[in-house]
Amino acid sequence: MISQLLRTLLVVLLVLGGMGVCRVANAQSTIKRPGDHPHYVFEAEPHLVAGLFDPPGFGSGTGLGLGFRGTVELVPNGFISKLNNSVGIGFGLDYLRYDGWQGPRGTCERFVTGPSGVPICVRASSSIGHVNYFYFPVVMQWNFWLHQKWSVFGEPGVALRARRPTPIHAVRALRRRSLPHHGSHHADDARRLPELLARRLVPAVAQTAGSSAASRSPAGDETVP
Amino acid sequence: MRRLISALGLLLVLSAAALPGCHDNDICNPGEPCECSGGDDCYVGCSGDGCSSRCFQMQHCGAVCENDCSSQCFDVQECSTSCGDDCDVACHNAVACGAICGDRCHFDCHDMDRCGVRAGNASEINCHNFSRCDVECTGTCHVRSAAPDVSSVKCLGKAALTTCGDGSVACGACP
Repeated sequence: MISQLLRTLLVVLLVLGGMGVCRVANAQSTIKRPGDHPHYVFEAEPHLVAGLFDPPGFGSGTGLGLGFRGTVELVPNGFISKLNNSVGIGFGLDYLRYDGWQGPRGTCERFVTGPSGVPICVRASSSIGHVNYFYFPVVMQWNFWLHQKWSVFGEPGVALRARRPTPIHAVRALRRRSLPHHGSHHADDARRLPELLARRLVPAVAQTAGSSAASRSPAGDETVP
Repeated sequence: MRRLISALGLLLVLSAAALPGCHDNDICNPGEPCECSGGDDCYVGCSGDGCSSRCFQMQHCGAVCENDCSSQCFDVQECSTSCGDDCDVACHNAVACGAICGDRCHFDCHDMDRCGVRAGNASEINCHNFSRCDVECTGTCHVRSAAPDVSSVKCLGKAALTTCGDGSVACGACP
């Protein structure tokens, strides 16, 4: 019941917010005035991130997190000459945390070395508490300027997902891989650390599509008044 | 301020809309099969007897379970099983498969680089199509190996190592 009320309230807020944007847009619209927007070289954009669908890997449900996007304006007057639009390239980092997990998965808490040097897990957690995701997106940001300081934009692009982004994870993986070997192999493993770190960056299909409204200061930084 | 509320409202509405998609009942229970596939690591911990796990197409995968446990693993870099008595462990088409199991363990490993098992009393071990198969028996056991020259069988208990008539090896008397 409370959940339904909350959702109704949020929908009302959204509609009212939309009406507010529309009223501003009608009053001072610049969409048909090509080039009539603040020109900037770099835009710094901290943002909140919501993952609405199950991601690749172990995470599941709804993910929430933070991110940063830097966008460099490439084309001040974009692909449609009669409209006030611009195109930039954006890159950054997004962090998402999912509290759900897919499948009956857990992590190993203790390994022992069995016959043939095979690492054998003897204690596993029954579940994963939460799953962290780190994405490195690269997008094309196509802005349509509705107002001097407001635009809507779409951002098709790709993102690299770092499965284990920290050197600590890589060292742990190396240590576990080296279990069947002797100590003399550790030096080789250490030399392979950069390679292993690089391999942990795997491409993931991602597209940050959609539109959102942002207020931009003349300096180019995104701000929310 | 109005813009801030609009932006937050949009975010919250989108989040609320996704809530029905959550599911948090994915645990491994005895008597029902649980499966891991795709991804890097998966280690299933299952409390109680009669667990059944299956791993495939992963880097590292394994099960930690109690008695009467069934574990299957294939298309995995490293398979691992740790279980109590009366376990049934099957591994194939992987790089390495290891198990630590209790009495009356059935361990079958084939098309594998390395097979390794430490098994309890009255266990049955089968290895074929492998580069290396190492067996340690803490009690009596019977080991069938397709390549005895690259296999080792250690009898860690009081049972003596015995070569059987069909070329298999046993700790204790041949069956």
